[in-house]
Parts: sequence; structure tokens; C-alpha cells
Amino acid sequence: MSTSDVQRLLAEFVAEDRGEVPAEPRRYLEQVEGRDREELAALIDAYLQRAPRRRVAPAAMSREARDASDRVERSLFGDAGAWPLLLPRLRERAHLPRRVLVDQLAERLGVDGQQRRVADWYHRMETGLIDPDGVADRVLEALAALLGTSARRLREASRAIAPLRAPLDAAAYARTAAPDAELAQTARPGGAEPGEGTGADDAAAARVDALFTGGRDAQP
Amino acid sequence: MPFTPRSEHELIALDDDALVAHLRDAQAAGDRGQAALALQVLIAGHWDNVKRRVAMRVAREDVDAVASDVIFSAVRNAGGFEGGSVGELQSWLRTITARRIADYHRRAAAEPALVALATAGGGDGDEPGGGVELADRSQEGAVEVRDVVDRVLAGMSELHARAVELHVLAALPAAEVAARLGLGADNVAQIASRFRRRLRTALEGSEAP
Repeated sequence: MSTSDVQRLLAEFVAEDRGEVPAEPRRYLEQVEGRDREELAALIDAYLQRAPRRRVAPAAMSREARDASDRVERSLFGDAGAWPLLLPRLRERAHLPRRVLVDQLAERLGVDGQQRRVADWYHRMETGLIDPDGVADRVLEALAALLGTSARRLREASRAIAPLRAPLDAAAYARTAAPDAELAQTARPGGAEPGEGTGADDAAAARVDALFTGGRDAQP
Repeated sequence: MPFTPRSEHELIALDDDALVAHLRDAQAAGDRGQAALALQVLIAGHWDNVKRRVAMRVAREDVDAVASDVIFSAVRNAGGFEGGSVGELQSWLRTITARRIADYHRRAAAEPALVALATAGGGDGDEPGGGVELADRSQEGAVEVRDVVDRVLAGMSELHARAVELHVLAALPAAEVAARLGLGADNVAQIASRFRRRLRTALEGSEAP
């Protein structure tokens, strides 16, 4: 291989990339080795840095791009800072399905039997529909232990964005945010909103609600 | 001036900075639907470029997370969400992508089991907020190589650097670049050849792959 081969591969990459489907760098990089590969990678990277935005409709996004868009949207416009980006990512890395995470979280919080209510509040954390200052340190400590991070980092992430304006209400956000496939599976707790107790479960539900709305020092 | 909603087609036709400004205006006006649509158009258009840059240097399982973080941080900064001026999304994307990839490898060394999210003023970079990540260290040396093209271009005159961008990086014919920049076609070819030699030299001076 030579510089001219690297230049030819770059030109072929650029030509393909100007078509409808983005070119795959690895397919070109696999054709060279060692310093040639580094040179080609640097040139492709420099090309991609300068490539203009593709003029495509959101409907054309891949599933990964759609998921990313939903999470960025919830982080940017929601009330919980970067939690909608960070929490699902940590959960995925820990290979914890949300149902399992919620069960373990309820157990750690000492509110067994209130999994559905915990699930709903956790759903709000992942979707940015919660005031993070209302969430108890105890909740973040339990979550951090399950997700392999620290409560301090979770708290900091919730403050990653300075609010621009008064928070929009959850109903308005729910109308505009695209549903996350996994989150959409969440059943609402008996049709009740968090914060609305239901019959004999009132006391237990109130304890859970306090953990997610009562402030940093709240205890169940 | 009252906020004017735009159709999806109109938003797609806007340039980056106009789109970011529209997003910002929509949010300020409380039009969540328009703000979300503008964001989706931005992400739809930039996702593949950012993801491919990240994918060349980051473990496959972490690519989407790092790319998401790049987009989030770039939009926050370009949108003035951190209090700065609105605009220059492309520049933010370029800078933050390189920085997040470097962060990814650096943090892997410090905290191999931890995904970290830096907070305002707490990241390794100088842009406010943002930041992920973790990883293996196998690409750590190679990350530095990414800057080599910019370093070589910085050592050339502005006109010659532009010629390289158009002829080498954008693969435009030398004659077309020459006509656009008021140079001779032979001169463009020589400039490109000089750039490639310098790039080779710079790469040989960097850490072995």
C-alpha cells in the first residue's frame, strides 16, 4: 500500500458517502494496515468532521438514532438534567432489565410490595419527568449501588442543565416525547398518579412517594 | 417578535445555526413540539457522522452512548443552554467528539468499571457540562493521532489548507478546486502532495499504531 492507495480509498469512501446510505469506515480501513490504516482513519475522521448535516427527515432515523434522540430530548427539555441519558445507559451496561432493577430498588428501599409504584417513579427519572431535588439521597444511593456508580455522580447528572424556563408540565411533555419501547411497557400503578394514594395501600404508597418527592433527607 | 412555527420540510432546509436558533426560540416560546422537531432534525442529520467518528475509536458496545453524549453536549453549547452565545454547532460537534473519545479512554484508565458523567465545569474539557465514559485502553495512543490532520493543516497557509480540505478531504477534482480558489490545477496537486508528505511525517512521529 502507499499514500496513493490511501488517497484512492478515501476518495472511494467520500464518493460512497455522498450516496443515500452513509459509507462504513471499517470496510475501508480493513483494506489497509499499520501506518496506512492510521493515515486513512485520520483522513476519514477529518472528512467526517467537515461533512455537512444530512438533510433527512426524522422518520428516516435508525432505531439507535431514534433512541438517542429521545434520550437527548428528555434530558434537554425535561426537569431531571441528564438522568434520561445516564440512567438507561448505566442500566444497559449493568445488564439490568428495568423490571429487575425496580424489584431490587424496592427491596433496598425497604418498600417490598410497592414495586409498581417504585417503577412509576423510576420511569419518571428516566424520562425527565421528576424534580430531582425531591428524590432522596437514599434512593440515589440504592440506585448507584445497583448501577455501579456513585450517588454523587447521579446527583450531579441531575443538575447538568441550567433550567431555561419554568418546567413544562408532565402531560405536555408526554404529548410530545416519542415513547421509549422499554418504558412503554410500564404499567401505571393501578391507574393512579404517583402521589395519589389508593385505599389500604395509602400509607405504603405515601412512604414511596416521600422517597421520590420529599427531598434529599426523606426516609421511608 | 412572536415565534413562528415551521414545517418539518422547512426545518430540514435550514442550516445548522438557524436550526439551533429555532430550537432555542421554540423552547423559549414554550412550543415543545417545535423544539422537539428541530432537535430531531438536527440529530437525524448529524447522527451518522458523529457515530462513525466515535465508532472508529470506541468499543462497539459504547458507541451509541458516547455519540449520544456528544450530540447532547454539542446542542447544549451551540444552543446557548449554558449561557453562551447561540451557534457554531458544527464546531462544537467537532471539538466535543474528539474530547469525548479522549475522555472515554482516559477515564477507562482511572475508573475501568465506572461510567462517569461530568457535570458543569467538572469535565476534562473546557466546555460546560457533559461527558461520559469508560473503556479499554487499546486505542489510547491512537486517539492522539486524530488531531494530526488539523495539526498539519494548521502549519499551512489558509489558502493551501482550504485547497487540501476541498481536494483531499472532500475529493473534489483539482481543476474545480483551482477554479474556486484562484489557483492553478498543478499547484493544487502540489499542495495536496505536500500535505500528504507532511501527514505521513507527522504520523511517523506519533505513537506507533
